Amino acid sequence: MFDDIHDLIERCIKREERAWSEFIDRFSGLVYYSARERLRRNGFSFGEQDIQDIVQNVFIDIWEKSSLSEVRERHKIKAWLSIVGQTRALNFMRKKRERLLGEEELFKVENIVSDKGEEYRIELVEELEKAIENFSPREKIILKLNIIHGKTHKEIAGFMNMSINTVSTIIARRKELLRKTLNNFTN
Amino acid sequence: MDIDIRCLDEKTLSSYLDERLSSMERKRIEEHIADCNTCLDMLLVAYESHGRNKKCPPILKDRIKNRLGLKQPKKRPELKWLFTCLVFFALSFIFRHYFLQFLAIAVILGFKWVMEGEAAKRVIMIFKGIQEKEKKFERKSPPDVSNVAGGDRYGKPE
Repeated sequence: MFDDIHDLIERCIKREERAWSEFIDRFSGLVYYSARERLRRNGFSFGEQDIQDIVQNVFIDIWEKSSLSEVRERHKIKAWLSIVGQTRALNFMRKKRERLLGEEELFKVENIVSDKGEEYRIELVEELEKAIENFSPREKIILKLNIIHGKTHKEIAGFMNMSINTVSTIIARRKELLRKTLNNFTN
Repeated sequence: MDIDIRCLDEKTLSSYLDERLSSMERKRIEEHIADCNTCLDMLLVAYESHGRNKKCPPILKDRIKNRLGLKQPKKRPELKWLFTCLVFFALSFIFRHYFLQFLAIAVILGFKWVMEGEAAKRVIMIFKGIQEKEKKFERKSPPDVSNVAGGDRYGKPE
Protein backbone atom coordinates (compact mmCIF):
# COMPACT_ATOMS: atom_id res chain seq x y z
CA MET A 1 0.00 0.00 0.00
CA PHE A 2 2.73 2.46 1.10
CA ASP A 3 5.91 1.70 -0.82
CA ASP A 4 8.00 4.35 0.82
CA ILE A 5 8.65 4.08 4.58
CA HIS A 6 9.18 7.84 4.79
CA ASP A 7 5.71 8.42 3.33
CA LEU A 8 4.20 5.83 5.68
CA ILE A 9 5.74 7.48 8.75
CA GLU A 10 4.61 10.94 7.63
CA ARG A 11 1.04 9.67 7.35
CA CYS A 12 1.31 7.93 10.72
CA ILE A 13 2.37 11.23 12.28
CA LYS A 14 -0.80 12.75 10.81
CA ARG A 15 -2.64 9.85 12.52
CA GLU A 16 -4.12 8.38 9.37
CA GLU A 17 -5.82 5.14 10.33
CA ARG A 18 -4.86 3.22 7.20
CA ALA A 19 -1.22 4.21 7.62
CA TRP A 20 -1.22 3.09 11.26
CA SER A 21 -2.80 -0.21 10.33
CA GLU A 22 -0.05 -0.73 7.74
CA PHE A 23 2.60 0.41 10.23
CA ILE A 24 1.46 -2.26 12.74
CA ASP A 25 1.28 -4.94 10.03
CA ARG A 26 4.76 -4.09 8.81
CA PHE A 27 6.67 -3.58 12.03
CA SER A 28 4.97 -5.59 14.78
CA GLY A 29 7.02 -8.65 13.75
CA LEU A 30 10.25 -6.69 14.21
CA VAL A 31 9.27 -5.47 17.70
CA TYR A 32 8.07 -8.98 18.60
CA TYR A 33 11.39 -10.52 17.50
CA SER A 34 13.52 -7.86 19.25
CA ALA A 35 11.67 -8.05 22.58
CA ARG A 36 11.79 -11.85 22.61
CA GLU A 37 15.47 -11.93 21.65
CA ARG A 38 16.37 -9.41 24.36
CA LEU A 39 14.64 -11.43 27.11
CA ARG A 40 16.19 -14.64 25.82
CA ARG A 41 19.70 -13.16 25.70
CA ASN A 42 19.33 -11.71 29.20
CA GLY A 43 18.30 -15.10 30.56
CA PHE A 44 14.74 -14.18 31.51
CA SER A 45 12.07 -16.85 31.70
CA PHE A 46 9.06 -15.44 29.93
CA GLY A 47 5.75 -16.48 28.47
CA GLU A 48 3.97 -15.67 25.22
CA GLN A 49 1.65 -13.35 27.14
CA ASP A 50 4.62 -11.30 28.42
CA ILE A 51 5.91 -10.72 24.87
CA GLN A 52 2.44 -9.82 23.59
CA ASP A 53 1.98 -7.29 26.41
CA ILE A 54 5.38 -5.73 25.67
CA VAL A 55 4.71 -5.40 21.93
CA GLN A 56 1.26 -3.93 22.55
CA ASN A 57 2.68 -1.39 25.02
CA VAL A 58 5.38 -0.32 22.54
CA PHE A 59 2.80 0.60 19.88
CA ILE A 60 0.41 2.23 22.35
CA ASP A 61 3.29 4.29 23.72
CA ILE A 62 4.37 5.44 20.25
CA TRP A 63 0.75 6.35 19.46
CA GLU A 64 0.07 8.22 22.70
CA LYS A 65 3.37 10.09 22.90
CA SER A 66 3.54 10.70 19.13
CA SER A 67 7.14 9.48 19.29
CA LEU A 68 7.36 8.94 15.55
CA SER A 69 7.68 12.66 14.92
CA GLU A 70 10.83 12.71 17.05
CA VAL A 71 12.71 10.10 15.02
CA ARG A 72 15.35 12.00 13.14
CA GLU A 73 16.30 9.36 10.63
CA ARG A 74 12.99 8.06 9.36
CA HIS A 75 14.51 5.61 6.93
CA LYS A 76 16.22 4.00 9.93
CA ILE A 77 12.94 3.39 11.73
CA LYS A 78 13.65 -0.35 11.95
CA ALA A 79 16.77 0.08 14.10
CA TRP A 80 14.94 2.52 16.37
CA LEU A 81 11.91 0.25 16.76
CA SER A 82 14.13 -2.70 17.57
CA ILE A 83 15.96 -0.76 20.30
CA VAL A 84 12.64 0.53 21.70
CA GLY A 85 11.26 -3.02 21.76
CA GLN A 86 14.31 -4.24 23.64
CA THR A 87 14.41 -1.47 26.27
CA ARG A 88 10.67 -1.85 26.92
CA ALA A 89 11.15 -5.61 27.31
CA LEU A 90 13.81 -5.05 29.96
CA ASN A 91 11.68 -2.43 31.76
CA PHE A 92 8.68 -4.76 31.66
CA MET A 93 10.59 -7.61 33.29
CA ARG A 94 12.12 -5.29 35.88
CA LYS A 95 8.67 -4.03 36.84
CA LYS A 96 7.34 -7.57 36.94
CA ARG A 97 10.17 -8.55 39.30
CA GLU A 98 9.48 -5.55 41.55
CA ARG A 99 5.75 -6.31 41.59
CA LEU A 100 6.33 -9.92 42.58
CA LEU A 101 8.82 -8.81 45.24
CA GLY A 102 6.16 -6.47 46.58
CA GLU A 103 3.73 -9.32 46.76
CA GLU A 104 6.39 -11.40 48.53
CA GLU A 105 6.14 -14.09 45.90
CA LEU A 106 9.86 -14.75 46.00
CA PHE A 107 9.61 -18.17 44.45
CA LYS A 108 8.15 -16.56 41.33
CA VAL A 109 10.92 -13.92 41.25
CA GLU A 110 13.54 -16.63 41.20
CA ASN A 111 11.75 -18.21 38.30
CA ILE A 112 11.98 -15.05 36.20
CA VAL A 113 15.78 -15.19 35.84
CA SER A 114 17.54 -18.35 34.86
CA ASP A 115 21.32 -17.98 34.76
CA LYS A 116 22.08 -21.46 33.55
CA GLY A 117 25.04 -21.43 31.19
CA GLU A 118 25.62 -17.73 31.75
CA GLU A 119 28.44 -18.13 34.29
CA TYR A 120 31.08 -19.15 31.75
CA ARG A 121 30.11 -16.28 29.44
CA ILE A 122 30.28 -13.72 32.25
CA GLU A 123 33.71 -15.02 33.26
CA LEU A 124 34.92 -14.78 29.65
CA VAL A 125 33.63 -11.21 29.34
CA GLU A 126 35.38 -10.19 32.56
CA GLU A 127 38.67 -11.72 31.48
CA LEU A 128 38.47 -10.18 28.03
CA GLU A 129 37.61 -6.75 29.39
CA LYS A 130 40.68 -6.80 31.60
CA ALA A 131 42.85 -7.81 28.66
CA ILE A 132 41.57 -5.14 26.26
CA GLU A 133 41.39 -2.30 28.80
CA ASN A 134 44.02 -0.21 27.03
CA PHE A 135 42.77 -0.79 23.49
CA SER A 136 40.97 1.93 21.51
CA PRO A 137 37.10 1.89 21.63
CA ARG A 138 36.92 0.63 18.05
CA GLU A 139 39.36 -2.19 18.74
CA LYS A 140 37.45 -3.14 21.89
CA ILE A 141 34.17 -3.43 19.97
CA ILE A 142 35.73 -5.48 17.18
CA LEU A 143 37.33 -7.95 19.59
CA LYS A 144 34.17 -8.29 21.69
CA LEU A 145 32.09 -8.96 18.61
CA ASN A 146 34.60 -11.51 17.36
CA ILE A 147 35.39 -13.34 20.60
CA ILE A 148 32.22 -13.04 22.72
CA HIS A 149 29.55 -12.86 20.04
CA GLY A 150 31.35 -15.07 17.52
CA LYS A 151 30.84 -12.67 14.61
CA THR A 152 32.76 -13.08 11.37
CA HIS A 153 34.99 -10.34 9.94
CA LYS A 154 32.37 -9.64 7.28
CA GLU A 155 29.56 -9.30 9.84
CA ILE A 156 31.66 -6.96 12.00
CA ALA A 157 32.55 -4.85 8.96
CA GLY A 158 28.85 -4.54 8.06
CA PHE A 159 27.84 -3.69 11.60
CA MET A 160 30.52 -1.04 12.08
CA ASN A 161 30.38 0.33 8.54
CA MET A 162 34.06 -0.44 7.93
CA SER A 163 36.00 -2.35 5.30
CA ILE A 164 36.68 -6.06 5.92
CA ASN A 165 40.42 -5.47 5.46
CA THR A 166 40.53 -2.98 8.32
CA VAL A 167 38.59 -5.36 10.59
CA SER A 168 40.85 -8.29 9.68
CA THR A 169 44.02 -6.25 10.28
CA ILE A 170 42.86 -5.12 13.72
CA ILE A 171 41.86 -8.66 14.74
CA ALA A 172 45.12 -10.18 13.48
CA ARG A 173 47.24 -7.55 15.23
CA ARG A 174 45.49 -7.74 18.56
CA LYS A 175 44.73 -11.44 18.76
CA GLU A 176 48.33 -12.47 19.30
CA LEU A 177 48.57 -10.26 22.34
CA LEU A 178 45.22 -11.50 23.59
CA ARG A 179 46.15 -15.12 23.08
CA LYS A 180 48.90 -14.76 25.64
CA THR A 181 46.67 -12.96 28.13
CA LEU A 182 43.69 -15.29 27.75
CA ASN A 183 45.79 -18.42 27.63
CA ASN A 184 45.36 -19.06 31.33
CA PHE A 185 41.60 -18.66 31.06
CA THR A 186 40.99 -20.95 28.11
CA ASN A 187 43.29 -23.67 29.40
CA MET B 1 22.52 -6.67 32.41
CA ASP B 2 20.51 -3.55 33.23
CA ILE B 3 20.16 -0.27 31.40
CA ASP B 4 22.45 2.32 32.92
CA ILE B 5 21.29 5.91 33.45
CA ARG B 6 24.40 7.03 31.56
CA CYS B 7 23.40 4.91 28.58
CA LEU B 8 22.59 6.57 25.27
CA ASP B 9 18.95 7.26 24.44
CA GLU B 10 17.14 5.04 21.94
CA LYS B 11 17.37 7.52 19.06
CA THR B 12 21.09 8.19 19.43
CA LEU B 13 21.91 4.51 19.87
CA SER B 14 19.90 3.39 16.84
CA SER B 15 21.49 6.09 14.66
CA TYR B 16 24.74 4.06 14.82
CA LEU B 17 23.30 1.70 12.22
CA ASP B 18 22.83 4.58 9.80
CA GLU B 19 25.57 4.57 7.18
CA ARG B 20 25.19 8.32 6.75
CA LEU B 21 26.12 9.08 10.36
CA SER B 22 28.98 11.56 10.73
CA SER B 23 32.32 10.14 11.85
CA MET B 24 32.29 12.35 14.95
CA GLU B 25 28.87 11.05 16.02
CA ARG B 26 29.95 7.50 15.25
CA LYS B 27 33.07 7.91 17.37
CA ARG B 28 31.02 9.25 20.29
CA ILE B 29 28.69 6.24 20.20
CA GLU B 30 31.62 3.84 19.84
CA GLU B 31 33.25 5.31 22.95
CA HIS B 32 30.11 4.32 24.86
CA ILE B 33 29.39 0.89 23.39
CA ALA B 34 33.04 -0.15 23.76
CA ASP B 35 32.49 -0.24 27.52
CA CYS B 36 28.71 -0.84 27.70
CA ASN B 37 27.87 -4.43 26.88
CA THR B 38 24.10 -3.81 27.16
CA CYS B 39 24.05 -1.13 24.46
CA LEU B 40 26.43 -3.12 22.22
CA ASP B 41 24.22 -6.20 22.48
CA MET B 42 21.07 -4.15 21.81
CA LEU B 43 22.61 -2.72 18.66
CA LEU B 44 23.64 -6.21 17.62
CA VAL B 45 20.07 -7.51 17.96
CA ALA B 46 18.81 -4.51 15.96
CA TYR B 47 21.42 -5.22 13.27
CA GLU B 48 20.65 -8.94 13.21
CA SER B 49 16.91 -8.33 12.97
CA HIS B 50 17.39 -7.16 9.36
CA GLY B 51 16.46 -9.83 6.90
CA ARG B 52 15.21 -12.25 9.55
CA ASN B 53 11.82 -13.87 9.21
CA LYS B 54 9.92 -11.88 11.79
CA LYS B 55 6.33 -12.87 12.33
CA CYS B 56 3.85 -11.47 14.77
CA PRO B 57 0.74 -13.48 15.73
CA PRO B 58 -2.24 -12.06 13.76
CA ILE B 59 -4.31 -12.02 16.95
CA LEU B 60 -1.79 -9.62 18.51
CA LYS B 61 -1.93 -7.29 15.51
CA ASP B 62 -5.72 -7.18 15.82
CA ARG B 63 -5.42 -6.59 19.58
CA ILE B 64 -3.12 -3.58 19.05
CA LYS B 65 -5.38 -2.14 16.33
CA ASN B 66 -8.44 -2.53 18.54
CA ARG B 67 -6.63 -0.91 21.46
CA LEU B 68 -5.73 2.08 19.27
CA GLY B 69 -9.31 2.27 18.03
CA LEU B 70 -8.38 1.65 14.40
CA LYS B 71 -11.24 0.62 12.19
CA GLN B 72 -10.73 -2.83 10.76
CA PRO B 73 -12.44 -3.85 7.55
CA LYS B 74 -15.20 -6.30 8.31
CA LYS B 75 -14.58 -9.64 6.79
CA ARG B 76 -17.71 -11.11 5.22
CA PRO B 77 -16.46 -14.29 3.54
CA GLU B 78 -19.88 -15.94 3.86
CA LEU B 79 -21.34 -13.57 1.23
CA LYS B 80 -19.49 -15.40 -1.54
CA TRP B 81 -21.53 -18.53 -0.72
CA LEU B 82 -24.79 -16.59 -1.00
CA PHE B 83 -23.74 -15.06 -4.31
CA THR B 84 -22.73 -18.43 -5.80
CA CYS B 85 -25.92 -19.99 -4.47
CA LEU B 86 -28.00 -17.34 -6.28
CA VAL B 87 -26.03 -17.85 -9.49
CA PHE B 88 -26.69 -21.61 -9.46
CA PHE B 89 -30.33 -21.00 -8.61
CA ALA B 90 -30.65 -18.73 -11.65
CA LEU B 91 -28.78 -21.24 -13.83
CA SER B 92 -31.23 -23.97 -12.87
CA PHE B 93 -33.97 -21.98 -14.64
CA ILE B 94 -31.81 -21.11 -17.63
CA PHE B 95 -30.62 -24.68 -18.28
CA ARG B 96 -33.85 -26.54 -17.60
CA HIS B 97 -32.26 -29.80 -18.69
CA TYR B 98 -30.03 -29.74 -15.56
CA PHE B 99 -32.62 -28.12 -13.31
CA LEU B 100 -32.30 -30.60 -10.42
CA GLN B 101 -28.50 -30.69 -10.49
CA PHE B 102 -28.19 -26.90 -10.38
CA LEU B 103 -30.86 -26.69 -7.70
CA ALA B 104 -29.06 -29.27 -5.53
CA ILE B 105 -25.82 -27.27 -5.78
CA ALA B 106 -27.72 -24.08 -4.92
CA VAL B 107 -29.22 -25.75 -1.82
CA ILE B 108 -25.78 -26.99 -0.65
CA LEU B 109 -24.25 -23.53 -1.10
CA GLY B 110 -27.23 -21.95 0.64
CA PHE B 111 -26.72 -24.29 3.59
CA LYS B 112 -23.02 -23.35 3.66
CA TRP B 113 -23.96 -19.64 3.71
CA VAL B 114 -26.32 -20.13 6.62
CA MET B 115 -23.80 -22.17 8.62
CA GLU B 116 -20.96 -19.68 8.11
CA GLY B 117 -23.06 -16.72 9.13
CA GLU B 118 -22.39 -14.96 12.43
CA ALA B 119 -25.82 -15.86 13.78
CA ALA B 120 -25.34 -19.58 13.08
CA LYS B 121 -21.87 -19.48 14.68
CA ARG B 122 -23.35 -17.86 17.79
CA VAL B 123 -26.06 -20.52 18.00
CA ILE B 124 -23.46 -23.30 17.68
CA MET B 125 -21.31 -21.69 20.41
CA ILE B 126 -24.30 -21.44 22.77
CA PHE B 127 -25.21 -25.05 22.04
CA LYS B 128 -21.63 -26.21 22.76
CA GLY B 129 -21.58 -24.14 25.98
CA ILE B 130 -24.79 -25.79 27.20
CA GLN B 131 -23.37 -29.23 26.40
CA GLU B 132 -20.16 -28.53 28.36
CA LYS B 133 -22.14 -27.26 31.36
CA GLU B 134 -24.25 -30.41 31.33
CA LYS B 135 -21.11 -32.57 31.23
CA LYS B 136 -19.62 -30.70 34.21
CA PHE B 137 -22.85 -31.08 36.15
CA GLU B 138 -22.87 -34.81 35.43
CA ARG B 139 -19.30 -35.16 36.70
CA LYS B 140 -20.06 -33.27 39.93
CA SER B 141 -23.17 -35.23 40.95
CA PRO B 142 -22.43 -38.02 43.51
CA PRO B 143 -22.36 -41.58 42.24
CA ASP B 144 -25.47 -43.64 42.76
CA VAL B 145 -24.41 -46.50 45.02
CA SER B 146 -27.85 -47.53 46.29
CA ASN B 147 -27.72 -50.72 44.25
CA VAL B 148 -24.15 -51.72 45.22
CA ALA B 149 -24.34 -54.60 47.61
CA GLY B 150 -22.06 -54.51 50.65
CA GLY B 151 -20.79 -50.99 50.02
CA ASP B 152 -21.19 -47.73 51.91
CA ARG B 153 -22.45 -44.58 50.25
CA TYR B 154 -19.02 -43.92 48.65
CA GLY B 155 -18.89 -47.34 47.15
CA LYS B 156 -16.17 -48.68 49.48
CA PRO B 157 -16.60 -52.32 50.55
CA GLU B 158 -17.43 -52.78 54.19
